[in-house]
Amino acid sequence: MALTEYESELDIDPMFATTHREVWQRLGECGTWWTGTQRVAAMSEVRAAFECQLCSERSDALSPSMIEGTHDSVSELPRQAVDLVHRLTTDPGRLTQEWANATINALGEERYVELAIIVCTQYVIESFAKCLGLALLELPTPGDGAPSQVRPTDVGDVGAWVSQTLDKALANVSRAGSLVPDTEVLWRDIVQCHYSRGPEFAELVWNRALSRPQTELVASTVSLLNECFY
Amino acid sequence: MRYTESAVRLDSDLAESRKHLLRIAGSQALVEAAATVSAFEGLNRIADVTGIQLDSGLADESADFRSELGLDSYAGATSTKSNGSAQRAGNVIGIFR
Repeated sequence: MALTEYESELDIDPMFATTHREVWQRLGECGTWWTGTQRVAAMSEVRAAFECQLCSERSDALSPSMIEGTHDSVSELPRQAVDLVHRLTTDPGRLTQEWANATINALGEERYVELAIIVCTQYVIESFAKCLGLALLELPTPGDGAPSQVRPTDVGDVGAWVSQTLDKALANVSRAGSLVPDTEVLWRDIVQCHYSRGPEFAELVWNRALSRPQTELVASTVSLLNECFY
Repeated sequence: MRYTESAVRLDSDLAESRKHLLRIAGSQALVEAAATVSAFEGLNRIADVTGIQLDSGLADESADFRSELGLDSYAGATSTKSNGSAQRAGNVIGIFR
């Protein structure tokens, strides 16, 4: 789908369609630790998670760990990968380090991070569409190739659940996916487009349709609803 | 705020909330709200799934109200080891030192 602008009566800056198109296609390309086919399979699992009975029951439970079962999966991905995608999609505020450690032990730290970035990036693009009543994009065509499996050399323990770059140039959230830089760049592109927009991030006054305080109030409300501590 | 709540919860009244915000704030404000909601849906998730700690500046910035607001009871709070000491940063970048 050649997306140059969204079909809408709303005044949507073409920047969104351009960025979304580029990032979307690259999400489907071969990654550093997952193939293109596996990455697109993960994207299909994000959509399936919204209809998953287990995810629904867990969301309603006092603790997600109280509910045993099998996800309504639509792919051949490993069970732990499906669980990561579904839980991150539907119940992110109740992930625990114990769960993360078990998932990382099963998948590998780098695969865990790459999958997480894919889910989060896709979530931004699809949430934007849902917010504005736009049609969701067709899943990208999987790219060819084999994962290079190259781990960066400048990563280590910075106190998070996963290794990250040791260079703290920006906020911790800005280096969260730095273990897989070739996929992390997609995440950065999306956040730049939607929110931070270069040097403007450091300014207290924004020349946007929403003022900075208004924007931060919306952001805080989202974080409150998701029970995100960070 | 009603629009934000509807969008995050994917409530059945999202279309109605969207129309209301469009009517009172205009198209560009609605798009900016949608961009922010979706960005933080992703930012919340990447923070939670990687277990990042609060930046020291962010811990200081929020030290005097996190507990009062109940934020320390969130699951993600266990990732941050330092409570910080209540003080305000001089600028936006200082919050994330």
